[in-house]
Amino acid sequence: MFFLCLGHSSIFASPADSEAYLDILVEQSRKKDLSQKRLWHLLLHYKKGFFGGVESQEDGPDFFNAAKGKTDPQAELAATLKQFFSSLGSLKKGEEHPQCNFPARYKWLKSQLSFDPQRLQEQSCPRFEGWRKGLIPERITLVFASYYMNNPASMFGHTLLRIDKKREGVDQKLLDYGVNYAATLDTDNALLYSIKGLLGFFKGTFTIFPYYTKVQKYSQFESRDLWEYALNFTEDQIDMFLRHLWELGGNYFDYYYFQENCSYHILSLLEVANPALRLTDSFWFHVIPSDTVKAVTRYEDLIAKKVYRPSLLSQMNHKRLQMNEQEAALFQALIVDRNLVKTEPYMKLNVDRKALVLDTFLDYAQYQSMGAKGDQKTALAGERDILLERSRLKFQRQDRIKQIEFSTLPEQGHGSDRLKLGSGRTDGQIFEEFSYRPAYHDLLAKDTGYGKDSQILFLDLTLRYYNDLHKSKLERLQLIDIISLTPYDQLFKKKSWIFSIGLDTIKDIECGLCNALKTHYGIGLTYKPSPFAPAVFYTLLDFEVEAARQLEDNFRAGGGGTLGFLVDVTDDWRLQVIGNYLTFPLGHVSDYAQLAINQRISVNQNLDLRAEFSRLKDKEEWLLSINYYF
Amino acid sequence: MKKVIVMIAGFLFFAPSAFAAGYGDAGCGLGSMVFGDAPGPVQIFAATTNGTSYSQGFGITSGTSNCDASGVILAERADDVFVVQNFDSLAKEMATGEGEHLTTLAGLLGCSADKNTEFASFTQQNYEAIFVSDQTTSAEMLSAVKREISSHPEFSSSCVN
Repeated sequence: MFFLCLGHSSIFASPADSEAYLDILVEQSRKKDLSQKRLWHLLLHYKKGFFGGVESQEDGPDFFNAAKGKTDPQAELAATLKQFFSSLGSLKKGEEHPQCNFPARYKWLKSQLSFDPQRLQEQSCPRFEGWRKGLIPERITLVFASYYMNNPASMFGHTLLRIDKKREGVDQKLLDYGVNYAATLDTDNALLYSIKGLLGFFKGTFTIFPYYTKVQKYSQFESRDLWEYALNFTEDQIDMFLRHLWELGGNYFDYYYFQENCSYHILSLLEVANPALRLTDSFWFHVIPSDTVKAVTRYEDLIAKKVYRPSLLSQMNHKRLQMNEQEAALFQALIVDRNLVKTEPYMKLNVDRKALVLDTFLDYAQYQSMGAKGDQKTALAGERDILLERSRLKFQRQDRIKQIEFSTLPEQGHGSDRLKLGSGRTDGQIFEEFSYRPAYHDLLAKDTGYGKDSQILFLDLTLRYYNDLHKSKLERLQLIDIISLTPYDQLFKKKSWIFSIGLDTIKDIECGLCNALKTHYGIGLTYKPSPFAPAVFYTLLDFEVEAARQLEDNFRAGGGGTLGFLVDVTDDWRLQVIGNYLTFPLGHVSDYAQLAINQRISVNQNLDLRAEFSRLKDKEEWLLSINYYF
Repeated sequence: MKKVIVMIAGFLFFAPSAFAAGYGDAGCGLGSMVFGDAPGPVQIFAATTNGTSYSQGFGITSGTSNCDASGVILAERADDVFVVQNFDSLAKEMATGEGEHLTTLAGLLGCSADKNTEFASFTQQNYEAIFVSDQTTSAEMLSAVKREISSHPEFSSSCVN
């Protein structure tokens, strides 16, 4: 048996008997085919390899007891059993006993093989036990951090877990521990950061933090609403979860942006808790945090309850919505001049309205102080006059109970992949259109579960077949296509912007529907009457560069402007009108104006119908399509 | 053609900006913190890397002095660590007389949960004594709260710590 030669040699109390008992256990494990059981594969993070066999996704060498453990489940199981026999004397200083390093494997193998404590001595694990006692888990909660202002990429969200401690009578969720899986960064160079992340050069590790640090980071500093999903697990399942988390704590996975990212490994932990859950199977190309919420919520019995935790800005906006015009004006003025609390417009307010204005101001001041650079931990204390004035009102508003939800549940959103089939007519030609993109959300799609008035698309491919010409053409291949229409707000004065890069079809010049490499950037302002208004208006200043062989000098560069209007006529019906004009003074001198009218009607969460019309110079184009999200 | 390349490169390689040093909490999304909401494509990588600049295994941000060997905060230091980390929230909630951070602190000080509203009114009324000046540190604030509790007829007995 080759595996007996692996690992460091151990000195047993009675070596002969230990070796004999080890042989028996290994033989039993073979008979029961334990190394092929689902839980063993989950504990070792084995996934089917490209060329048959399995390979573990875990990349820390300490995670395996056998030299071939990464690819050989049986060798790893036998070597793990052997390690459980290690005598304390054989351990290096500061080294934990293998039974303590792998408490989940130990618990499972013990239950499967009914270890005889006389022949395999059970070790005490004070470090692990101390850690577990500090956590005293009662429940596991999945936490999803949603979108934040003016950052469409944040729509991908983030997921972490919270270990809810057993407490008598008191609600102290802030003191619970959050479990986070994240890449360990070793660079703040944006280019290196991107490349290393794509190729898996970062190490991903699990960490635990008090939940209040997470609330501070996501809910206050980044001001993202949090959704908390309390999960139903038995005590035994939670125990297995914790044991496995301990096993992972000292090891690492190679971190990949799209596949083995924060969400993926969070799901694999939940599978260890309950192997009947199939959470990671459906992901093959990319894992997006909101998709992990969908994977979990698909098991309806798993969800005990959902809690909305409004971000600091959502709390503030909730208060702003309760103000009348004078109070809103007073709040704005207070930001410029704190002494207004000593003047009449404020003084003559009722105490509850005074409290409303000051509480809104304090939310704002706290948000600003979080954004302050450096370690100005006491920034809010600088607002002492307002804080004192507020405390002297001796009034408690108690409106946390009626908090409006500013974001929607991620699992109610459409799927992140989209397949589009359409048929249309352009300049007299009939064509069929096929389109696919792996991610994520476009401006015309229903925004339930996503950020409002935003778009982020990756690898958006569109092909057309022109019936009369009998020709297939690449219509468009967008590498990245982002739209961020952040309503202009006196408080934050954010600009809106759009950016895209990819291949597109030139239509204003007769070049046989030729393709051009195109980069577009636009910056401007968006107007929205109120946070929940169904319509937005926006205007952009545009810059565009196109490169194509068919153009004079092989390129053209210029700019122009866009006016846009978006309205949700009903919950399921969105209308968009865009007019833009572009002129290219550099390279191939040209210009054109375009008008587009697009409509979308949602049939259900993952299906919509669209009618798109555009007019460019004297050419009209119609497109009817059906869009399926999955 | 060269112009095109330069322009595209300009779009792609915005330098990271607004590095927020004060909030060293690790986790998915540190990237988005590094890049803030600077308009530009860098955000894409920021929000998908989900990085952390720490590599401390099981640990917390406040440093190991407050933790046991396995990274869980020591019970006897829990209130200090909490107050340091949530100073602004506590200042705000004590002034407004309500909030989750405040009830959490009440619990850490051993006050029973059914007295949360009274505790919040109590810290609101004593705000000036708890935050003596705009230079008050979190440690001074915490000891002031404890002092006020001990001289209060009801809380001195209902808060056990």
